[in-house]
Amino acid sequence: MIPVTIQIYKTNLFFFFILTSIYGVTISGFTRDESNGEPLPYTNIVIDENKIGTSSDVNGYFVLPNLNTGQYTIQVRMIGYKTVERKINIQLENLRIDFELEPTTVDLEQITVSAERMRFENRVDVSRVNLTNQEIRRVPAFIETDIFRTLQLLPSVSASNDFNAALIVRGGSPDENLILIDGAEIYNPYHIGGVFSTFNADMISDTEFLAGGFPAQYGGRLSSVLKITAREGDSKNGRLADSNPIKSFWDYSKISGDISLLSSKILAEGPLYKGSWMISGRRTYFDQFVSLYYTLKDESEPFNYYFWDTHIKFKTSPNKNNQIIYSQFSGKDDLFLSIGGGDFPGIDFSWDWGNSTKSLIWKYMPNSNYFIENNLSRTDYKFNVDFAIDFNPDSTETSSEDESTDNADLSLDIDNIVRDVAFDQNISYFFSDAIHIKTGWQYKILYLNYNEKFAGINRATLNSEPAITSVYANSTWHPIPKLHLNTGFRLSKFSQYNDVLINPRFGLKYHPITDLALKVSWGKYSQFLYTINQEDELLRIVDFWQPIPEGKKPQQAEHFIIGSEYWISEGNSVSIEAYFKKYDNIYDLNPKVDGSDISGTIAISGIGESYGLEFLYRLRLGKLSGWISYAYSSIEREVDLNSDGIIWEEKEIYPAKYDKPHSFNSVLSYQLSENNEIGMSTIFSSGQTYTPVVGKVHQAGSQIYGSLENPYQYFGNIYGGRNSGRYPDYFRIDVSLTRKSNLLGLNGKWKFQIINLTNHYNVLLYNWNHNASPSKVSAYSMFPALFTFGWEFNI
Amino acid sequence: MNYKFFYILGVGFFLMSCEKELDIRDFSDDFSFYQSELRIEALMLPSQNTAIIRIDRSVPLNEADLFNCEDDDLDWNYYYCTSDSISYESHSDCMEACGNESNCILHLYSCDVNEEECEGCEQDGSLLKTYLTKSECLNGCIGDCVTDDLGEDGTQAVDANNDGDYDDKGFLGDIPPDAGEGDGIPGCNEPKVDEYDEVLPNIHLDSLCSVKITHGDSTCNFIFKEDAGIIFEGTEKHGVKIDEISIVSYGAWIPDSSDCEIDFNHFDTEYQFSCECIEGSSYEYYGEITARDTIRRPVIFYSESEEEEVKLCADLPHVYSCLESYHNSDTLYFEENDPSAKINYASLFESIKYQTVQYIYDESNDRYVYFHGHPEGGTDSGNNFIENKICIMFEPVVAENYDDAYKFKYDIFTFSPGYDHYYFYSLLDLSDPERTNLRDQNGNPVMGAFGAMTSRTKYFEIIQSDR
Repeated sequence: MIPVTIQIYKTNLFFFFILTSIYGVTISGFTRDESNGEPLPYTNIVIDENKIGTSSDVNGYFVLPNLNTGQYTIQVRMIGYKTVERKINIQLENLRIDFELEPTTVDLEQITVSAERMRFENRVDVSRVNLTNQEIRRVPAFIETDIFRTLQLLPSVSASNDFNAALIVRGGSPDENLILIDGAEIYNPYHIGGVFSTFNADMISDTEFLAGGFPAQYGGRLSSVLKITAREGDSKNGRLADSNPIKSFWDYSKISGDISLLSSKILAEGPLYKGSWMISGRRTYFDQFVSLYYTLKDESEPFNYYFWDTHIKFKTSPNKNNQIIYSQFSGKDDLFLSIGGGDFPGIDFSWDWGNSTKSLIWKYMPNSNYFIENNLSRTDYKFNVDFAIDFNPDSTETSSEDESTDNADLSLDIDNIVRDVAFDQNISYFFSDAIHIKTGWQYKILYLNYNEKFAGINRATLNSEPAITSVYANSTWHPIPKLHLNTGFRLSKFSQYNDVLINPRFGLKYHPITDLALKVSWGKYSQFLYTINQEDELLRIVDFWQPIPEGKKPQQAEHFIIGSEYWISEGNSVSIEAYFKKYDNIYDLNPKVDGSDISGTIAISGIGESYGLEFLYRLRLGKLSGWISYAYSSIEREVDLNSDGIIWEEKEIYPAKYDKPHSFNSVLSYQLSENNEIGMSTIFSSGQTYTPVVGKVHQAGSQIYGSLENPYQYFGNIYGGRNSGRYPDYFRIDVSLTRKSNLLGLNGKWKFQIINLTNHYNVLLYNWNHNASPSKVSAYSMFPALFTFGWEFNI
Repeated sequence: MNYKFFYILGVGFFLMSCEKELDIRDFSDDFSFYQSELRIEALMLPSQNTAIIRIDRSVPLNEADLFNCEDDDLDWNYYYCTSDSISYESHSDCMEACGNESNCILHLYSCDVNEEECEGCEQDGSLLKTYLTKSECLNGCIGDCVTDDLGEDGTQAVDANNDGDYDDKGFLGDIPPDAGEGDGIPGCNEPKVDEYDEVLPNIHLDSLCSVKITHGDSTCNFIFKEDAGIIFEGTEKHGVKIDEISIVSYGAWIPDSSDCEIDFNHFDTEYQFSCECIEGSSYEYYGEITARDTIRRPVIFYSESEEEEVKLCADLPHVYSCLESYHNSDTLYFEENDPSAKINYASLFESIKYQTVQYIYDESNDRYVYFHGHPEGGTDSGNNFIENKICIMFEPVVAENYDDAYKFKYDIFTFSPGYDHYYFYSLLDLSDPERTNLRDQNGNPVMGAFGAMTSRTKYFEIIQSDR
């Protein structure tokens, strides 16, 4: 029984918050880089007199609510920029103040409170890492800088192998990651069959990665959120003459280019009417070399491949209260292969896939303690394979890729389309500097189509148009300075499932002492789409997205995370997190698909769990910076693969393919001198699992071509326990040396990189040859030692 | 900072390593516990009213003597009898005709040449012209000199640009001779070494077991026969000329004609399989292995013009009788390069998965030889099902000639439930209880299946415009 006095006290406290929120004054505004007008995310804004503060969001916007009238001094701070200090006189009206910060050399001695410190003190999100463009680019990379490869050096993320950039987060399969670019969801973010991610590092402004326990504003995925915010472009340094009549509507600041071994890039930016624009593009040119080579030889090309991607972003603020942003990302891969001919059948293989995202964002930011963000987005993912066989190639002349299918004796065409159109509205309301509520809703319509044509005749079509409606609310409250609470929920209704799903989320951060934070997070998560890729695929060549079977339970997971973070000094922190992730329902590819009910039987339901312990030390010791991490993890699944209702322990309870119990990573860079910097990344982890071969026998199977007509064609494998073997430990050191120089009058940098410095033989797979006694086994490796070097210049 | 990368030179690869052979002993923890098992493929063939049962053993990975890299049956390369000056394809043929061990000389090379171009090689009906050495062959042969003495890679050395050496590497470059090539000694991976007739007898279980199939009160006992089944070795599709495709036989269990009371063509009735290996065999621990299955009806081939009528069969009480009334066994004729050429077939809804196998007519030997086969299946997303009673399908036909052959046939097989699961659930383990219907005396699954494949054949011909 709660005493009446306490109840009255609580009621009074509640009304106190309401009243102060109504009668307080709000200061809001943007923080921007003075040199180019780009927003500065996570800037620290503090009122000197009462130490009330906040940090700007990823778009540079901040709100300081519920202030009393009076004279104040506002300080705005950001690493790498001069601190701005401004005196203000708060009367009864809300104030709108924008700050522009001048870039300067970082002087760590002077930093007492930074944006990272503000996040440490105020943000409840556990398992969160923010990476800037510069941090991503500092990591040694295979040919090109890649955000996914950098993320895989964090303790919560791992990779399947060197050829597969898909993110595996705390035991979750790659389709469990929500990947957003400027608010639009992207479905297959890979180039070259998964070797690289789709994202061009040049256009990234900020990367926020949540490895678990993510708040209620994010939904539809079980494991993690990767939120990429593209640069807005330089809005200040237009080059058109002042007399030019179009200058007030459009101008350009910079056009720069970039050529790597893999691709050429261009990036242009400049001011727009009360805003800015940015266009970046990238295209590989391997295909041009191939074409040239075969043109010189006067032969038709046996293969070719290229990819391109572009990003366009426009931002305008017609007035101080409104901001409109249009962001568009497009990317495409195109592969063509032609083999055979002469005495052998001619086989033409054409394969292209790509993503396109468009988002239109309208931000309404009244001079008050709330703002509204409306986002209309559309994503298209398309995948097409044309496979054509000509049994008498000499009798048929094919002159182009497109004609080859038409002239073929047999052809197979597969099309897969995912279209995602979503509208969401988010309202952020700041009751005080202690209470912040974010709420919103989303309506998403999906169109998923799979179409298969054989010999020009339609053979299989899978169409579905499900819709997802979601509502969420999330509150952040710190009732006492040492305690921060984050509570929320997300309601989701999937059109192909009857029940409304309720996903509660909870997070807590407690500071027992100033520099120590203890964190707890719990939440439930649901997912309505999945990919029907096999778990043990080596390359992430394509994702076949499908909705969960109609009427069946969505995929669900529950996260429990506890951790602590100790702030040693600026740039130096240690965090330890333990997690337990329980999968109540996950879908896998059914090995017994029933042709009379494909959509209802293509997936098979299972459960799973993963748990682990992660240690991360982010360091900045003089000229040395980077991070060191260790992770222990275990990932186990239980799936009734043969659907007989009985769990077969040896085959149906198994560690996941990418289960790697121990993983040690380090990323270090050292400033040797003003002009020289070295970088090194190290990965040392347990090997992945594999299903061992224990014997051999002749066998028939629809997966083995000709096995029914020739039952003794070759020996097949007899397998042991599923994923009960483990490859040797993985070890890889990558190093880079960057040296500033001036060449041909251009300031630039030489960059040398060695991948797998020790040439460690990291096993990709084993292959058995059973036509020998005893059987023979070979190993295939991942990347050997590779050396690249180049020159980086400033236009 | 607006720095841009500008890579100006290429990638240097050093210390490249991709594939390497490992010591199998490193994997002994994975497989050392494994002991040989039985794999049984007991297959009724209603269209021929017979059955064939392949009972084989699985092989531990470290078993050392199955592939011994020796020419156990003495058919490696050719034998030349000095007394009659005739070449023979095997040592035994040579001995039989020549009668003297010392007169049967190993000839390593033979001349691959067309009959009309072959002068002097026809001797007593044999077109075989063989030589002791490669140089003799090159001097005397107007075609290609071929040999079984290919070395470990199983590939004959190639001097691509005929410059007398093998050092021109790269795509379509020289292929240098490898270890064992031209050494006159049979070796691993060489043709006619460890081939089917040397290896399979060591896999088959050919005695010590009692094998039978029962149907109702009737029983059929099976006996082992060394040439019970055949395999087409090499296909035209893979570059082997039609008349050179050879037929290899293998051993299996077939009905004992003197002790078999049943027919294997009673549809929709249950057959029972039993196999028991007697005490003293290595597999007595299984006890009696049993399974049950029923035979499903075959497909019918229908004319394109009657498709709508075929669909209407779904509305009738006796669906299969109706389908049968539209079955058309006439040979089909397609114009060369007709893109719409296809064979229409239909089955009951119970059989929506098939195996389609194409054969090509070998006129010179008056036989059909295997061309290709593939699994096929109707789906609910492919407009195949009519009221979930009939599945209508088609097989596209490539209307072209091969090696001047223009006659073909397609066999379309339907599966019994037992064989359907074994063949189509191939992502499951061989001993998965959903994949195999065979059970030992303790109810444990045994690798393989008991079932039936019912087939029907459709003949077709390609009509050339100038014919």
